[in-house]
Amino acid sequence: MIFSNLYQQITQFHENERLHEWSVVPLGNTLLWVLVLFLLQDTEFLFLLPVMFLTQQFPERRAWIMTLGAGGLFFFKKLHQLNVDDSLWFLIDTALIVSILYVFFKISKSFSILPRIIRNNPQIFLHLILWFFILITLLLPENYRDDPAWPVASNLTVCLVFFAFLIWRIGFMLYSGKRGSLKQTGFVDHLIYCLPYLGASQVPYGKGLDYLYPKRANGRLELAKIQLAGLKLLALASVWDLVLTVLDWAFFDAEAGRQPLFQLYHLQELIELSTTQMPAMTTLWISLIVDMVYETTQLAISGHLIIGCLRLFGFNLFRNTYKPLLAKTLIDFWNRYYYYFKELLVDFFFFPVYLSFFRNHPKWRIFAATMASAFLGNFYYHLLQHFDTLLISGEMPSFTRFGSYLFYCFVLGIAIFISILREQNQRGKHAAPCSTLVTIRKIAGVWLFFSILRIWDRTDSAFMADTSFFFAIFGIHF
Amino acid sequence: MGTQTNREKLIQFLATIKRPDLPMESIADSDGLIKSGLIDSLAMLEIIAFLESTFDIDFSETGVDPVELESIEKILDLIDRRSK
Repeated sequence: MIFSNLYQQITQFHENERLHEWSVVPLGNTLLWVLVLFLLQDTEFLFLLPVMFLTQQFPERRAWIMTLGAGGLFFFKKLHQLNVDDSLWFLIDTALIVSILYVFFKISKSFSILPRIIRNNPQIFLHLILWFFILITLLLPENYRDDPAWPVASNLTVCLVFFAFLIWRIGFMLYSGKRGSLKQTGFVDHLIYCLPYLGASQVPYGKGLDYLYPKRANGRLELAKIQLAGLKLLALASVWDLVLTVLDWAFFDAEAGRQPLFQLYHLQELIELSTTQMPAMTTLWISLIVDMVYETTQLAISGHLIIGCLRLFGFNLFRNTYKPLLAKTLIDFWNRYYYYFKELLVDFFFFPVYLSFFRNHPKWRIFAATMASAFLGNFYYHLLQHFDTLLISGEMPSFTRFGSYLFYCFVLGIAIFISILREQNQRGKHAAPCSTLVTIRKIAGVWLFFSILRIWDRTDSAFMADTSFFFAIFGIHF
Repeated sequence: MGTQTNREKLIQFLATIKRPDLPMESIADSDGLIKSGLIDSLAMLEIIAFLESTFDIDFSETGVDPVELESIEKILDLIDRRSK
């Protein structure tokens, strides 16, 4: 009991009111930022530290500070990644991208006077605009991005890549316009989520302003509580990082003169092995499971760093990854594994379909909405994500590359649909408490399902190679 | 329909989808339904279907703002504004 209380106090330190008060006084606050510095020192998020500190000192200027500081860093990093090194083009591209956002802000703000067809389908309208410009790039000559004779086209493509990168955030802005919640906000307020800070992906962590603003700190003590919760996530990220180091040491890293305790393989390595090089069946299966745990831990680390930083900025957001390895059902795993991606699919695909079709057929309604989100939406998101990478590398997207991922999304959609139905059947019923053994069996089932399905969860592989590997894990080779 | 009647209907419905081990009385009208553990996020779908069928609310044009469904108080407010 004493240990349990102690554990609770340590892990829930951010709920301790005395600690909130102490972290407001100069000594406590200095210690807080020293700890943040320590936890961020080896990460790309370190540059955000002064910006976070400034938002604490001037909370009423939070939007401006985040936009100029963190948004500036985002542009610097992203444009550098896209090889925009000329400072004049850097400024022009930045101005163009901010202008694109401004145009959509004005469109969202005037939502009620837009033509009815756009008001009814704002997201389709947005994506049609993007695809119109993508199709235009197909008309440009090959390798134009490396040709100095085409700087205008090359830089406009950079802006298009940004547009694709930011499209889900712009989508949230349009939703705010549709709900009429933009009236009280200025353009700069929207830049805090439209310019994702270092390390963030196309997935809007913290969604749009409608979600973000009610969760911002009001008052110094509340900010202290949220900051401590952010600190906790950064600490957790460090712990998981340590776990990865141990896993590498024990299973994966074969350094000169030292073999791992027990040699395991990452999924990618296994798929690339020929039949004759395949390890023993036991090693194969343990590798599949451990690699799933490894990848989940990696995702938890990156999510904890992003949400930890957003909490230090003063936004009390849910974690991106919350104990998915303890999930007892597939839908629960999906909910806990990558929360903000799941939310993206729910907001842009699930609900629009759920609200528009099969109102009188509950099962069909859920089936259509689940397949629209977990299958089609999931696939479409990755198609757009990789259009970005392919364009950067000067190639055109090839739909054949996505065969494996299409299969993955389809199976995922069906599995989640079945899981939702099973959950719904259980809801409201008095279930007998699960024995430890039953709980372990349920968790193991979830691990097994996702460990196997991950074989196709890649957008850079061949469907046949992945499928033949799937059979190989059952000893069937062809 | 009065707010009190709406509230009773809503509470009756929530009782059918809530976690069996949590009594309805354990949460206040302003408490978050998911946050308090009374329902899970999937139950939101059933709340939407309930609001459509019982109060004739049409979400197809406006979409769903999960914030509007986060507590009993907010759902009642939504019913007041949107029921036909």
